[in-house]
Amino acid sequence: MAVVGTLGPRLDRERFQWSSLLMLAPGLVLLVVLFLGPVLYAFYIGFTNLALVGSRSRDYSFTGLENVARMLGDYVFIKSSWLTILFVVGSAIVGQSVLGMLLAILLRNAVVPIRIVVGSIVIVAWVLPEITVALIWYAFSQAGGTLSILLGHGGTNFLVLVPMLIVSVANLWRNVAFSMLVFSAGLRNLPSEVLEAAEVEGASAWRRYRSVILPLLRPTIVTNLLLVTILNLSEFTLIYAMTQGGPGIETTTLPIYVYQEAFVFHQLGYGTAISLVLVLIGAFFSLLFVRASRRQV
Amino acid sequence: MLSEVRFDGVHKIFGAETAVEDLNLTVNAGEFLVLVGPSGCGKTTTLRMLAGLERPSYGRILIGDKLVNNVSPRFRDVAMVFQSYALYPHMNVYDNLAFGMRARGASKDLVAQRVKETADVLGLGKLLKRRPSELSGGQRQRVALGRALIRQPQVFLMDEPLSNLDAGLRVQMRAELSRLHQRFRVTTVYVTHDQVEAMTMGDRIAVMNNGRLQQVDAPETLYDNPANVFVAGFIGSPRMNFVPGRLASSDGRTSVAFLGITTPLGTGSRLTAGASDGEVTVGIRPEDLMWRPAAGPDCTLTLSADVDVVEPMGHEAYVTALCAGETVTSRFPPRSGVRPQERVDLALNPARLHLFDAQSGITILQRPPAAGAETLRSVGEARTNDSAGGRSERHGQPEARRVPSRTEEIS
Ligand SMILES: Nc1ncnc2c1ncn2[C@@H]1O[C@H](COP(=O)(O)OP(=O)(O)OP(=O)(O)O)[C@@H](O)[C@H]1O
Ligand SMILES: [Mg+2]
Repeated sequence: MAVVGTLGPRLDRERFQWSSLLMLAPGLVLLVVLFLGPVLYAFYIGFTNLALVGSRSRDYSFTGLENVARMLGDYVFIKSSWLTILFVVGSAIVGQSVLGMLLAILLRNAVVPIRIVVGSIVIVAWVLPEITVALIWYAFSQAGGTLSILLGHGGTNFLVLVPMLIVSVANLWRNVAFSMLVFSAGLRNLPSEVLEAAEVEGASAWRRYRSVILPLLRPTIVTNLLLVTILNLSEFTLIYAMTQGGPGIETTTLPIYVYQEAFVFHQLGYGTAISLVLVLIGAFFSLLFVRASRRQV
Repeated sequence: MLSEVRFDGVHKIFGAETAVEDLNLTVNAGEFLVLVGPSGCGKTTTLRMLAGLERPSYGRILIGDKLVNNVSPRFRDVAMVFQSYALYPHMNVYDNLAFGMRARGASKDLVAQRVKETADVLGLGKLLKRRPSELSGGQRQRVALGRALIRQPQVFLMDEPLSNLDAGLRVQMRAELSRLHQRFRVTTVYVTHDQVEAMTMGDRIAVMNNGRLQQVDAPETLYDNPANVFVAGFIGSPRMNFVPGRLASSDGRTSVAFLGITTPLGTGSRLTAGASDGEVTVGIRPEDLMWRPAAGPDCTLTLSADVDVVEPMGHEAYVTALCAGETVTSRFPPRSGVRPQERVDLALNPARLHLFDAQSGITILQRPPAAGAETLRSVGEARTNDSAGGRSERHGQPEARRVPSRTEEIS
């Protein structure tokens, strides 16, 4: 309208007050010292040849892109990166989220006793310590273990035959409760009359899920994907306890490779550089999800 | 398309709360039934049972000739306007309107055409791209209404569909709904708190209280012959006056004493079989209790009262006065000049009295059906209470109420 411009500055815009910096200073100092500092330092370490023992542990130096060049030529690193992405996409994003959603939907429509029994079992798997889960699945997939007998191949060690698959499924088995709980809460909070309106309007169950329930759950889905991706990207205990990254390097995901480089081979600089790649992968997925959530919400 | 709806001994019990009790009600095919009652009396629950969103605890519900107790809402072919609107928050107005038709597999062209027609009728044409969160309350309510009107269901269920509209828009939408009902005659159950909507739109009005159906009748019948004290007090504004009275008969003539006067019962009226001498509740509508100078010759009774409050409404004034120890409300002409503390004479036509059993509250007086112009005038005036409705309903002719030309005149 014409009045804009003649009335002086807008009063409904957010304004910055310099005095607020003073109030924020203590928190800001803590953040810089305890958070930003270490992160930047780790970033720096990633471009050095720092070692855990030996002469390089004292007089290390900035080596520019040397670590990056080394990565690009490092067969183990390349394979490890693919394994990590496979693990995150397969076990976390597809497996855990889809299965978690299905469980949440099924339990929502189930009668109360079934809901309680199944819900409890799934949550118990999540409450179990990771080491215990590792042990259960280790025993389950050994030659002569339950899995081989069930499949009629008594002598096959499935942890050797398809190690990445077994590890992923074990991880999925443990973590599905998390997604299920997130989605159950999301489903419970949907406005019930909106769903009833869709039903009265003649929409089939399939259409109600596709056109109403899932779109309304979108924020929940994105939150779940973000959390699950970040949690699984750094998964170490379960895999290491089951396989130590083997056989060979068949289950050496990036966290395990970082551990080996930094603490077994004492290559702290290179190990840190690899963990920075892990951060990059995480940032990539996060960006993807956040962008997806922005679209037509 | 014309389907009858029948509730047959229907109860709905939530835990310890009985929301609907022994409901027996038939909505005739093509009828516009208005459901009224105080907040929490079970109106929404009744609609939800009919839509299939709530299962009756006991009893049967039929749509057409079909028992629908176990039919899912999807297959009942009803369209419902929710009290809370229940719009799809992630869809724009267009998609909200189109959802039901798409779900039933209508073609894209047909959907586009019907959405346009419906949006035009409801004045939503410019808002089609907006989300519900970007609309005002009244606009949302119109979308909710449109989502139902776009379809041609067997039954319309409307839960206070106009409650949030401004006065002008409400009159316009009321007329529009009446016109649509004229045209398509879809059986409709319409919940409202608005007396004007109830009186003007309904073929019949059903009054509920505490989960129980009190009375179902045509608006005029309900107004002139309320079945009990509750209906008498609920229909009509301002509320009917209730004062204690005494019934006495001698030599075959019955008379009633109240407010310090005694009068024989009007000639046309008959006492019901259950009536006996003793305590009764006397009901007097405010428009029957007139200012003496403004009253006609048939107002043979005169009461004197002390004015307490005068509420000028523009075209009339409500006067609350103290008469023989009872507080009564009466309708005065606009510029009577009466002031508080003044003593005035009130006039009353004995034929207009209502009598109820003092204990049960059930009516004990059968009044003659529609007492001519006098009745119609009072009904018409009751409608004018709504500030917006007043304009056109004043010249209320009995038959005009459901003739299309009339509703067009309103809009
Ligand atoms: N799901 C429920 N669980 C328990 N009680 C309920 C439930 N739904 C409704 N009630 C109760 O049933 C009674 C009738 O409710 P209903 O919503 O039908 O009232 P209403 O006539 O529509 O009222 P209003 O005019 O305020 O909308 C109320 O006392 C209410 O508290
Ligand atoms: Mg209600």
